[in-house]
Amino acid sequence: MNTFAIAWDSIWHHRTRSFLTALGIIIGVFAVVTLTSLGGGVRKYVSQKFVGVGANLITVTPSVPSAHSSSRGSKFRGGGPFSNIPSTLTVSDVNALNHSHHSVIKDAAGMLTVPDLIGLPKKSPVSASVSGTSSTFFTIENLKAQAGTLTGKGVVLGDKAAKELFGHHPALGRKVVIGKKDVTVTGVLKSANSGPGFTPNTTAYLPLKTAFALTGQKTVSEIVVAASSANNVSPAVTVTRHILLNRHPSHDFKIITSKELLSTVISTTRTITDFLAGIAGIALVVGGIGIMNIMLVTVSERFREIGIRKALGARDGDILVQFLTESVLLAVIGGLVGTILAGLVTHVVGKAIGIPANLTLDSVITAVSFSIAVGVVFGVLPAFRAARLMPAEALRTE
Amino acid sequence: MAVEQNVGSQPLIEVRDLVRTYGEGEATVHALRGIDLSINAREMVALMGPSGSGKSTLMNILGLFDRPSRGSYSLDGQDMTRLSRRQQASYRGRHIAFVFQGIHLLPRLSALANVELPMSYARMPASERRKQAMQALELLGIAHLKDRYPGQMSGGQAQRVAIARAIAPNPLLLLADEPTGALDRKSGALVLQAFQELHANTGVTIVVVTHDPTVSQHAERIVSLEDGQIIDDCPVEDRLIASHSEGGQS
Repeated sequence: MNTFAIAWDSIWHHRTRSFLTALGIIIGVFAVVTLTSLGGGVRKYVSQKFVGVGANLITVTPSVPSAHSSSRGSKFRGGGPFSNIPSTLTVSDVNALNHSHHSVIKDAAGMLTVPDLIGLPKKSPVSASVSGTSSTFFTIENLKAQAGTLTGKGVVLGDKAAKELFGHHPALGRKVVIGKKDVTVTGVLKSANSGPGFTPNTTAYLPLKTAFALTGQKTVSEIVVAASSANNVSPAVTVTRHILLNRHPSHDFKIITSKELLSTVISTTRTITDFLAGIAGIALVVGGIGIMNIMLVTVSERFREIGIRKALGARDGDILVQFLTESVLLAVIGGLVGTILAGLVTHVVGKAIGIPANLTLDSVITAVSFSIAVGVVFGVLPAFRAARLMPAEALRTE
Repeated sequence: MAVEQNVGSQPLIEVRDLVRTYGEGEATVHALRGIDLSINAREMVALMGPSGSGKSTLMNILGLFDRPSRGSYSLDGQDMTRLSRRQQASYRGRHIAFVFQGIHLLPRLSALANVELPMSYARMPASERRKQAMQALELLGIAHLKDRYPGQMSGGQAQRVAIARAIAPNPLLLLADEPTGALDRKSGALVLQAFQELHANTGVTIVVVTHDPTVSQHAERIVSLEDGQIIDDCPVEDRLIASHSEGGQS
């Protein structure tokens, strides 16, 4: 006797009821698969963007000096992303890296975060941020000019920053106010992808000299180093550390690769998606309870059938398998429908918000195996009840 | 159709001091109060009695559907009360067949599939069970109905499919519970005729539970129960004479 055929026959015979029962699983699987697929899409999006930004980059930032010389750093003033940590990184550090002649290091550029606002003369400032850097930085980050030059003495505006300041009028040669100083626009960048902690489109870049003058500082807030290739990142880190340790024996700096930065972002996204998927998983459990409920009804409806089958020699195990197959089949159908729906929605949403989200084989396998598990777990009790039924009782019910 | 048979001196069914009670304390129901019964192989016996007499309980125990509270039951020399549930199911599938009151065919299987069902539960190879199923259908003269579903048959036809299903695996014992209970007179007569032919042709041991005298007339021996005890056990000829003389007296 084909157990599968019997189960399918029974499900098909009660189509409406089967559909409503499976709906719980459909919704549960749909929610879990959609969330994990969209989360996967976001991760893929981030990594793709990252490839554009450059996987070969290393960032050196100031750090708390090692314990044995902690008092030294306090003499220095500094800003930067961690403004409470005084920077001791200088332009000569940058030069040392640039002149190291190590083949794994291509370029290095100092960056200084300027806390001043930028705006048009006699107008309120705009939301762009201001940094000081050298023209090497543009090479490292692969930024190109759409107007003017990147090596001028004035300010280079990001694409969006220029639009915010001047609209569609040409920005080149115009004056902007940074802090209290007038600066001429000498270049405008082409629009570029941003990455974690890197937003060229909304930044105004000043030459380091001007930035030092504006802030009164003599140190940079970070140094960006480009390794010769993405594969040479870790030797480049070693060389950079070696060179800087010679100049900073107190080890008052920290080296982060873009890869590390990215993996932090990705693992954060993953944690969030997993958490959401876990919540969505509750729907699966509720769906499973629905299956159990209906299977219990089915068992009592089919007392007679169970009795006949047992009278004809069906063992407890035969009946158990028959009802378990039915609940698992119901759950798997629900799981597949849910997965297909999730695939459609993921595709549409992914297109709409511009991330490469698609069903992964992983998520399909997970969804289907979860459905099977739900079918088994919540099918066992009804199936067991059916199997233990005494045929005499079953046949007495007319 | 070959039937496994017990040719020794021992009876096929041997029941001693069988007691079955339900419930406990004051609510205890005594369904059977000490039954002693022997049925030989190739016999056709009718179990008669009013409802509540215990005949269905006895049949359930004989069919391994129920266990006695006390007493012994051996079938073909084997002690049935010592079998586990699983062994009982397996033994039932191979050696005991049932024809129920009402039409107990599975409505969503064809006649042939219904007849094959007990043999597939007995894990018989497909070709063999197909062969035996067809033989049984032919024996009952309904081979042409093999692809019909129970809903497409008359009551009498369906019950004959049920009988074919019962005898297809060559059982030791065929138990029938009010086999004509749900049928009109004509269909009922056809079914009874089928039983008799079956008994004559295959020699299968048949126990029929009924309260219908026309059914019991087809048996060789009538065992009457009342209130959980056997009150009468005699061959049909004697009984006929007895009822005849009773009829004459009144």
